[in-house]
Amino acid sequence: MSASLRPFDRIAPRRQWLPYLPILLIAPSVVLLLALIAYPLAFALRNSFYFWNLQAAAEPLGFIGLDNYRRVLTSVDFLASLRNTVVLATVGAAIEFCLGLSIALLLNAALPGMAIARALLILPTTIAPIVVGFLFRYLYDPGAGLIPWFLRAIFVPVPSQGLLGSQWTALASVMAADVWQWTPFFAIVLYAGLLSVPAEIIEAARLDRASAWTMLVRIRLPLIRRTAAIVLMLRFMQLFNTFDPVLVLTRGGPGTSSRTLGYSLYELGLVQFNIGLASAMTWIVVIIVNAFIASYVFFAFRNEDW
Amino acid sequence: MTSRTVGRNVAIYAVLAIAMVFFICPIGWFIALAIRPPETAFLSPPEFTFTPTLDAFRHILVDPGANAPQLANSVIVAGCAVLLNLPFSAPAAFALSRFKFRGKKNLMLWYLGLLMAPPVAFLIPYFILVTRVGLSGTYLAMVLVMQTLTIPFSVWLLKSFIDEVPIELEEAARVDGASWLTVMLRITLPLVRPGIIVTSMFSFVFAWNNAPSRWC
Repeated sequence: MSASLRPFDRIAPRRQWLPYLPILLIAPSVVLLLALIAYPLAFALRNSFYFWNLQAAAEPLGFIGLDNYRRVLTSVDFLASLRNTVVLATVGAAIEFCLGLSIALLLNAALPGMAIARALLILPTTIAPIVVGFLFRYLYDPGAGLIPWFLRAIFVPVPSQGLLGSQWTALASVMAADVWQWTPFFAIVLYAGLLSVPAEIIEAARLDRASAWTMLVRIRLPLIRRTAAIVLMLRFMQLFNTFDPVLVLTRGGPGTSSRTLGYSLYELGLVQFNIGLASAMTWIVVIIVNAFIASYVFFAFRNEDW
Repeated sequence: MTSRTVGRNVAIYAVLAIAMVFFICPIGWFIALAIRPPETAFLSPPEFTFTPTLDAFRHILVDPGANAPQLANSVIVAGCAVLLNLPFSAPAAFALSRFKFRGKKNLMLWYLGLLMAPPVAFLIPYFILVTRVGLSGTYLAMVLVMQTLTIPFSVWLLKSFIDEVPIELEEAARVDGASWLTVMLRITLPLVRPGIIVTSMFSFVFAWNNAPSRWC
């Protein structure tokens, strides 16, 4: 009998309600989650059609149709933050994936002492993002920071305003902090995936004289494809929502050079209290995020079965 | 061992060592900042030798206006978030792992999609909702809001743990006449106890680290 058969295919349901059992088990979590996300989304949808600034009034001031959407879509801030966010998410996730995979392959060599390396590697990931922001603010400090000092020591020019103060390096500096924190996450997850690749397959490939590169691209990567696709998507979307490090490190500056969508939302909603504009932007972001997820799922999980 | 494998191993250790320096040095520097006298923290260029002091710790834990109560808040909120999350996520994870039904893939992806919602966007609606319901400033409000993160995360992680449990045990119990609920509560969940502990730990860290929900 094939191992992939689930018990439910073999044992006939005895009672009428049995087909509904999975639904009954899943329903509580779905209902709670729907209740928790439906209200914010409906709230934002309604208020995105109103002019409403909390500093001016406690209730919406007037229906203005799609005006909020038009203002968001034509504002320089929004377009700059959309560009920054896409750059941050794609480049950041790609760097983290490549570095993480390299470290996972090193760990996979299973030499003595690597258990310690693995245990230490998990450390950055467990620190709160906002604390990582503070950590890197010290590290980037133009005077006493370790990073400018190190870069100067190896003769890399550092902008005189500091790495966070120059419009050319601010976004890259925010990204570097994220790469520092989340590369170990990729390394650990992909290493766990590599462990599950059966040794016989690797042995067979070795007998066939497959090169290390062929082995990686043709055997290891395809076998850990699903794990890789899921962590990559998760990380991409978390990067897309980057907020805490931007708040602590650069406040979106200088100018709009490191402003992300998350930070723009925060500024519109919680600094300027412009609920109408913030709601419209929320819906635009929700639509963009869903478009990304849908196309990614379509291409990456087309042939997957759970 | 041939000289070629020795060379290869040395290269692996060297590259790994560079990676470890990159990932561990900032943490070491942070610890050094915590225990150095404040007036030496911003010397330029950075100073590597100093007399360690625990003044900063005394300041945040014991001195008047210390942060110790906030620490207790964090523990209570993150702990309750984990406790509330398990009764919701464990049955869902069991059903997703053991049953086949239409729309399962889409449901799994829906959970995953929730993890990706921009947290900042939900702050104002939550703030107003919580105020209207009269829960503002309570632990319950924060614990509930965190469930949007901890439930999807726990469902995914727990499902992967339950997938690893051999189904033969459950089949045996079924043949002996146990109901599915009995199987889940008496057999599957006790068997994945390590998985539940790991999931709870990660959910705790998630809840603990979640700064935006603190505005609620």
